[in-house]
Amino acid sequence: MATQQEITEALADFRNQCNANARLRKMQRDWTKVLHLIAEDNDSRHTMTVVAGETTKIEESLVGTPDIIVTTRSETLCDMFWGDLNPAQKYLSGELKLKASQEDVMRLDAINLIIWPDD
Amino acid sequence: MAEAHLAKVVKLRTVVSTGAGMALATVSYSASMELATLVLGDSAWIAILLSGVLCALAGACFAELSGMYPTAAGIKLFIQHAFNEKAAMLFATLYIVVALSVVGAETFVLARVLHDGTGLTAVPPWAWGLTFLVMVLGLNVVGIRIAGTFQDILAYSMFAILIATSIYAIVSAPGHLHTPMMPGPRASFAKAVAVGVFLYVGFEWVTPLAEEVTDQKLISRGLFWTIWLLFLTYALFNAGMTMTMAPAIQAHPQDPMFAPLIDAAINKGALPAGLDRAALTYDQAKQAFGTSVVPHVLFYKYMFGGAGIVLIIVLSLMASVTSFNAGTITASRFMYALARDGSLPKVFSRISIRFATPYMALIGLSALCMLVSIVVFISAQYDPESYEIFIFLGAFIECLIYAVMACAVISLRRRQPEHTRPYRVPGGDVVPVIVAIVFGFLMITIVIDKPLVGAVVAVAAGLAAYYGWRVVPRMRARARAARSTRAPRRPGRRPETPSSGE
Repeated sequence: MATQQEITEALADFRNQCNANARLRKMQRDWTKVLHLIAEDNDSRHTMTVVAGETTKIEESLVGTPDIIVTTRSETLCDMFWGDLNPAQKYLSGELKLKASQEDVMRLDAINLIIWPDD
Repeated sequence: MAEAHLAKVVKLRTVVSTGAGMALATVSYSASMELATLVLGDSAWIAILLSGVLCALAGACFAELSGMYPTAAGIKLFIQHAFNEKAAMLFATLYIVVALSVVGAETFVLARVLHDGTGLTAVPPWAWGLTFLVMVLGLNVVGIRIAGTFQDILAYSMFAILIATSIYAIVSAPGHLHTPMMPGPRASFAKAVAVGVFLYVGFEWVTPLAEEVTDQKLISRGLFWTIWLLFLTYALFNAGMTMTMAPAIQAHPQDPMFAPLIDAAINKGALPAGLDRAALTYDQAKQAFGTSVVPHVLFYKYMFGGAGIVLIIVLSLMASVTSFNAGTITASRFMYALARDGSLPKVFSRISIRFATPYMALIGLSALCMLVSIVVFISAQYDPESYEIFIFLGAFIECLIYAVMACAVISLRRRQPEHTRPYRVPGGDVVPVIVAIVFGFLMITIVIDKPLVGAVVAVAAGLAAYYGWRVVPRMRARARAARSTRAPRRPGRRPETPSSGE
């Protein structure tokens, strides 16, 4: 089980990767969203705010009204934001649950794909 | 702190407009008339009602499963948890075949509507069909989608116009209802119910919206309201069309608009060769009308003249656009997810940086749609009604999927009795068992009448099984091998082992 601190570290690295990726920033230029990240096996809760493609804030609680809610095990959250696992596989196996529009679900996975391409 | 609701949620009216808009396509008008020729007089509503009730029972099974797994990856996930991943791959592939068969028939009928309706006969029907498919592809690639309020306005306007014009046709029709309570021989009636299932195909595509609602019960409610709206529309439309056109053909069998229909019915064997055209019965006139590929165009033309043609072209485009909109978005995202999962070639996971859309999945899907449409157009050169085989193909696989979903409900109740179920089909296993048996029976009815459908499904299932059971494991093994060469980025830990699906 990953701790709140470990997930925060994963998110911080993810933010750096996202904000430094020019292709991603271009694709997400019109993407302004609030994401709630919920670990279902402990009390870990995070809010990530993306403004015009730039990840501006990561908070260790649920803040504001979300556009996307991600719910999964803490280990999965942590590995996913470190880029060590493919979120699409977890999503298709039902281990990663999302509340969002189809568009945002795809974008969320696309972010991962652009930062950490398969090949 | 309590978990918040989404900033933007889908409401019941959008759930219904999406499901009903998806189900009501241009080809539905033709299929509705096909159904009417299989029963006596004006009793088509009974077959439409019965198929609607059966779909509602299947919808109840979908509602239970969708409540358990509220995800856009629905059908694959339901089957995966209820049985195994190989079965999930097989049925998910067959489900895509349903979508493709609907697209083939839909493009053909829409092309005929535009060809016959606009009077631009210099433009061949296939060019209209191709133009429409390319336009849908273009809109999807650049990320223009019909959603929310616009989707609601479009779908509900279409249903309101159809219902209003149908009521007007019924009220102004000469004569009375013919044998409205006597559908005729059982075998034909069973076939009519099977065609009726096709009229509702796509109602269950509201389950991908499960991720966009906060109350899962909206999905189950939406499924039932969708079926009710579709039943009402089809029953009225069918009655209005038949009650208007059959007497018109009886009264004017030599009319240039009707004479070719009678000839076609005689050639098809639906009417006797030595028929006395001046003494056509109501049912014979209906049979003749049923040979038209675009009965709805003739109906609106007869009712409202030139304005009617414009109206039906608009209604047909609205029907096609609402169906293609929901279908293309969901199917292309699903293809993208499968490619990311390693179940489809990686090329389908490519993303357009400019538009943030899965353009290769969209192109792949459109290419398949075009291929199926080309097959329909070519076969129509030899038999103008050959597109009907795609209606029966769609109905067959849909019946199969409904039966499998019912079995999945029963299986998951035993495998995962403790799993949260926001909606549970009442009455124990009675409803799922009825759904499995009845839809199984309808599948047999279709195959007996159209053996070609059975052959196509067998080939498709064989290919899907080979792909899912032989090709996919190899692709995933390669992906795993590539991933294992990468050092984990997470400090001090190895990456998680791949999910159970692998």
